[in-house]
Amino acid sequence: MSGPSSGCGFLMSVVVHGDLALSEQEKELNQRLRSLYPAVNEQETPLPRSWSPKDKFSYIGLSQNNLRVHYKGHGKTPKDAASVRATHPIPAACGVYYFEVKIISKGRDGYMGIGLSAQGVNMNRLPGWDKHSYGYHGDDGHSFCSSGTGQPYGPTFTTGDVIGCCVNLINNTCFYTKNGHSLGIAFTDLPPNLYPTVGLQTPGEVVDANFGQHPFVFDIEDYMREWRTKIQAQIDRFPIGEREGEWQAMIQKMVASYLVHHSYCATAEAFAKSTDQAVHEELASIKNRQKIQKLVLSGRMGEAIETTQQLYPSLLERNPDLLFMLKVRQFIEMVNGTDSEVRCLGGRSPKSQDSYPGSPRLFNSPVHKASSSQTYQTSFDGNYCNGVSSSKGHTSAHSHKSCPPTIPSPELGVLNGIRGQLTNVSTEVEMEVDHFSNGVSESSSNGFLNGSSTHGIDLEECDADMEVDSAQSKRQLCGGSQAAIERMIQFGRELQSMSENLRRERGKNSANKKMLKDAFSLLAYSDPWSSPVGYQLDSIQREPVCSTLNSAILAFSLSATARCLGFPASGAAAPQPCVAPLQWEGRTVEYDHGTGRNTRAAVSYDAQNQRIRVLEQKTGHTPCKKFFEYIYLFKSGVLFQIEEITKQCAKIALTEAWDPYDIPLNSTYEDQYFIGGPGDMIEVQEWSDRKPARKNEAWVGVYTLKDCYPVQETYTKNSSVTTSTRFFDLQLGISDPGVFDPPSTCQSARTEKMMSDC
Amino acid sequence: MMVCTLMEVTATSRHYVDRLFDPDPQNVLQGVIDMKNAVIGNNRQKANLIVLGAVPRLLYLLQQSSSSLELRTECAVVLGSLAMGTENNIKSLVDCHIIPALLQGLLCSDLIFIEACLRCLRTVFISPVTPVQLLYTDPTVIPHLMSLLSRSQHTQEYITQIFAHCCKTPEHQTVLFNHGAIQNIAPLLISPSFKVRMQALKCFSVLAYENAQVSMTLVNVLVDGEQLSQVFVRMMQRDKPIEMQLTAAKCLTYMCRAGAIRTDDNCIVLKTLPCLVRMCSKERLLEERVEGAETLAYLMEPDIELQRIASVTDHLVSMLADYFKYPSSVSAITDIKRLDHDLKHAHELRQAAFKLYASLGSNDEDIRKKITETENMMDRIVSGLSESSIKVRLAAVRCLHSLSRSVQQLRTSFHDHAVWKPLMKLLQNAPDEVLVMASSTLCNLLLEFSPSKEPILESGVIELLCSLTQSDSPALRVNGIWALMNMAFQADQKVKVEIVRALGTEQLFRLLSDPDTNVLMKTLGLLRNLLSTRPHIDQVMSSHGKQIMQAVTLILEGEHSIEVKEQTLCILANIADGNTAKELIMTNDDMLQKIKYYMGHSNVKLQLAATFCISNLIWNEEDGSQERQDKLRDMGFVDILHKLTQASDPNLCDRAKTAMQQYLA
Repeated sequence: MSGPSSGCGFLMSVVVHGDLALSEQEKELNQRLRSLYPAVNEQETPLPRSWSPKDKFSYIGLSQNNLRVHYKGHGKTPKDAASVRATHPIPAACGVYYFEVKIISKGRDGYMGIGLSAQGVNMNRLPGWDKHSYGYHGDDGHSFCSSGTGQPYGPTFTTGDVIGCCVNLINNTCFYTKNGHSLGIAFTDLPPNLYPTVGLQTPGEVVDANFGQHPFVFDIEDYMREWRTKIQAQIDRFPIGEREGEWQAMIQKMVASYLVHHSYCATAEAFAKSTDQAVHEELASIKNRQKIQKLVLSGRMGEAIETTQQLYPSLLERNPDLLFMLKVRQFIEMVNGTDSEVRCLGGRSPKSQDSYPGSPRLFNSPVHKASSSQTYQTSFDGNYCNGVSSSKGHTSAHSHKSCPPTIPSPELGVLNGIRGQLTNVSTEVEMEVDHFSNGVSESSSNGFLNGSSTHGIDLEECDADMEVDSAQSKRQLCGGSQAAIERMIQFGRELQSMSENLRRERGKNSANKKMLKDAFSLLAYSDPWSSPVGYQLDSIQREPVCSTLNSAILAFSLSATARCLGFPASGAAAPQPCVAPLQWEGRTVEYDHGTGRNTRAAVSYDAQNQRIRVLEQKTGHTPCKKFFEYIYLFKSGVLFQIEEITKQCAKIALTEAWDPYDIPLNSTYEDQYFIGGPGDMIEVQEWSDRKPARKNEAWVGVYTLKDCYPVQETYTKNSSVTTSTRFFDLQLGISDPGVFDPPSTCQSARTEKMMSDC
Repeated sequence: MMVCTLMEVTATSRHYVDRLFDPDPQNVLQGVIDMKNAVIGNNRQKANLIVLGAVPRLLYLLQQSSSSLELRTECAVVLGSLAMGTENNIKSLVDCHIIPALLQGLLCSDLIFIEACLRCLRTVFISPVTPVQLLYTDPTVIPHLMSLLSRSQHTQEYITQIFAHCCKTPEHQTVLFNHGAIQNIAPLLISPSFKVRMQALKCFSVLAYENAQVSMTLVNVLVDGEQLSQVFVRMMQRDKPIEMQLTAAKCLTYMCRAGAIRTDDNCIVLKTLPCLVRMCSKERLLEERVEGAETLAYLMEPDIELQRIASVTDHLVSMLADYFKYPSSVSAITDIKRLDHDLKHAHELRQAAFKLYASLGSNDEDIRKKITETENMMDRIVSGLSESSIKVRLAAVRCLHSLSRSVQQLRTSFHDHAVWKPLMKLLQNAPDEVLVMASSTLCNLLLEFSPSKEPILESGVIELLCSLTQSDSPALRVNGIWALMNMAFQADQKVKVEIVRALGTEQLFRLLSDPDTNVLMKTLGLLRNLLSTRPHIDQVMSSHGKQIMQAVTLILEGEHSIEVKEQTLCILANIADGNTAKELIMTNDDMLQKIKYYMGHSNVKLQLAATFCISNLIWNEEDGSQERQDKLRDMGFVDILHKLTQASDPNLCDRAKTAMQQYLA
């Protein structure tokens, strides 16, 4: 077959196709695509249905509804190669995507390539020759993976053959088929968003595409079935922990935490009630977050920052990058004319005072911080709950509840700063707030004097303003007010110096740099809205800012909660001693430095009733046949010693003090590390102190981070080890409380200790 | 300590056995139930009970019609549990004649009891130590089992499983077929129970294997209105369990090889073949990969088109290279269990890969090239030839044989890797099946253009080949003489003399009267090759002329095919080309009469060969040609030649004219 005449033939055959036949084909296509790719939403990501008349090289001719491709160049050298892409990239939601190409004529030399390419790849080439381009070539059967040299791959193909190309978007591979036979994997590690592509190079080459217009020669449905089963099996076999297996509770928890995260408090409350769950955040706190989110989303960044600082005082201090991002956004909103600082300038009376006089203050840790947190730690005791309830009183006005031990209290962060003042005052909110704000900033303004209720009113007013604003058709810089522009420029300078400070203190941050540069670029245009950087002004850009801030608040609250519950939180917060389990059974080895002996024992430990039962296993001395059981009852001050073979029993007065296996509250944090090698991953913390029972010795304890089980306890005296106990095989709880009951022989027990040595 | 616990167990086992003899049937029943609970999962307890003689008593109770049905059922259950133990347990049970007893039990009408008996029978029969013949000794058993198929899903599962394991010979296939296995089992392919479907499928795979009768019947069977082959195709869908896909592919493969399905049928080309290739992939278990490769090799063995398709499907040729990587170096270090598993399957994998390579390369030159270019392929074959496992050696030599059909490979890779060395070694001492393949390969290596021919000759191959010609196996005799024939083609006088000497005229004539036509043909071929070029002809004929002429006479007078006679006449023509040798014909009037007869034969080929012979005798430029021409004219040959110049066959016509010209010149 030769080029021009056959080209004519195709055109004619298009004419022969009636509308009826076309619509019939269209229907079949729709049906097949729907059944092959049910997860694809074609409104969002249309499927390829034909070759694109726009995305092709000029040597390519299209006909038959843009399904037939023919070559119309000279075809003298590889420089005459020409490709065409499909109208759309392959949507990721396909999972497995497939199309076929039938070789109508191999033309002069049959230099045809079938494959995939990304948008923008040169069309004056065969698929596979360039980066992000992949092809299987008919003349030599080689596969070309973004390279001018092919790899031996499959058989050659020619006139009459049907070549299929399957993209597996699950494992990012591609294989071809020839006349319905799979040829095996051709490419791996494919990038996303590839377009079906064909390329031709010599006159007379003609190929037809089948994107689903006709049944495929290869049984792609069968392949898809296999993958569906595979994925299903993977899901079915996914290992789950015991607790996670409680599906309903788990799903309800997920839904609840989603609702809480996004501050849908009424829904969250209703959902929690109907599913009988505890909400892990107070509604007030959710409402606070909601308020902040509302402010961000309406572009009132200044107020959002202010409110955040007020409600979560140390949050932004600890996250200077976050603060910087918020401020950059505030600058953008100023340009937009939506930020409260500028929208209220010019004609309107200012509602919010400038609370940002000197930028550096935000990074200089307030002096009080270090000392107050120290106070908090060292005086931490049972009455800390008061502190929580007080702080709550401060943030959410008049809700006074006593603090239940498990209520997470995001406001706890406040505690550090204000505890001293709050312990005795709970209702005089405003005054406390004043104290607080003075504590954080050196600002001379009246700060947060009016509290949240004032903000509530602000919101309403500004909402009304906004409606008026939106009616204005002309957009002006900072809403058109000169004062606002000046304020914006001043703010920009502050921002610049903040950025410099940040860099000095925390090193370069390319993201911050770009953010600031993009924001400042807005000023370079007379109409920033229609400038290339104008997208920043779009209100949709508030959403990522909003969600980042929201997440930061939640993380912050969570770490506060964790501290409240006695769990050490990761991150910047100083670790707190964990609470060791009160009842467990396990095994120990005690090393006595004095005797140099290891004593192995099975131990039942009951801190609730202050008793310990020890079953000694003297493995050090094999000839020794004496085994002793010890029951220490500290509450009644009695120790029973039982010889295990005769059950001979000694009852001895217990003079030693109860020495629980736990970490004293005021212990010093020493270290945190993983024990074991790669894969073991047991994280432990080391603490030191002096324990009441052995006041003359220094104590070092190693406890697991997860559940606070003892790992090792060591007592030292004059820097030499006296005893060291290692714990292992621990199980929570006491399997049989009867182990603490002495045997009947103890009723007539002797009162002196039996020799435990042989 | 050990002794103590063992004694303890024996004591309690004794107690269980004792209770079987209790006079109160209720106590016996309770005893059996307790025994059942005691033996579950406890192999030592099972062995103890067997040693203590529980089996005969249990069988007695099971068979006793006075026993309650409940007791009989419990007995069957306990026996089934005992059978689940070690192979020794099974042997003991079979020795106690458990099979007839249980088969007898099947005649009972109670379904629960029947199921218990079947479960136990199933466990016994699927053990490799049970002689399958026991299923067929009583001719009423099979029909009864067929009738029980309708009782429940359990009976279906157990019976089909028994059939699937006990159908091992064509006779078994015929028995099952004659008792309606196909009609009875086909509906089970769509049973709601997976186990039943699977076992039914397995039945069909063993029934159809190399059985044209079964296969031809299967293609016409409809299951719920659907053709059986389509049901199998559905079972090969990629989301079905691998075992099911593989077994369905086997069924279709066997049906295809038995001629019931064409090799170009879509269900073979587009379904079975790709399915089997998938079974060879690395993702599959080692057992599945072995079965997949063997079945695929079998499927495409006779069909070049299937070989071509398979060779490009999913990189099969390089995928197979992976079969040689077990046990992998990783498994050796990290995981003893895996190493053990790998080792166990390593031989199986290698032999399966060799078989598949052999099948792939049996016809297409391009595929052979692709195979030999696979990483280390020739080295692997060479080392495979000297492996300890016979299966691997056989498969390796098969693979070599398949590749040796390539002229190019003979000239290149075969020579580079000196494959003739291990091959010769293999030929020294090997079982017949290996010898057949190896000697057949040797035939190809001895072809004139093969560079390996010389070194092989020097390694004393002639003696070896001559000994093969004395083998009882016709295949070995053919290969031996064939190789000699190839060796003699255009060979030195020295080689020819050596062949004649080593073979001995006696053996040569024995081969000329061999009952196997192939042997006879190749022997004649050898003679023809020996009798080529004039000096050789004269030399051979001067020493063995009498016997050769005798043999030629014998064959020409005997009942032989046209091909044999043609070959013999060609030998005669060669003799006629000798200087001195032609006198052996000229002085033999009887032989001349025979030639005359064949010139007038109805078969053109024989006419041609005979004419060629005469033409050689009357050739002008040789001494004494005039006398010969005269003598032959007197005998009437000229008239015949004259007639033949009018022959319709152009070759014959030309040949006759050329001969006539000798007279005219």
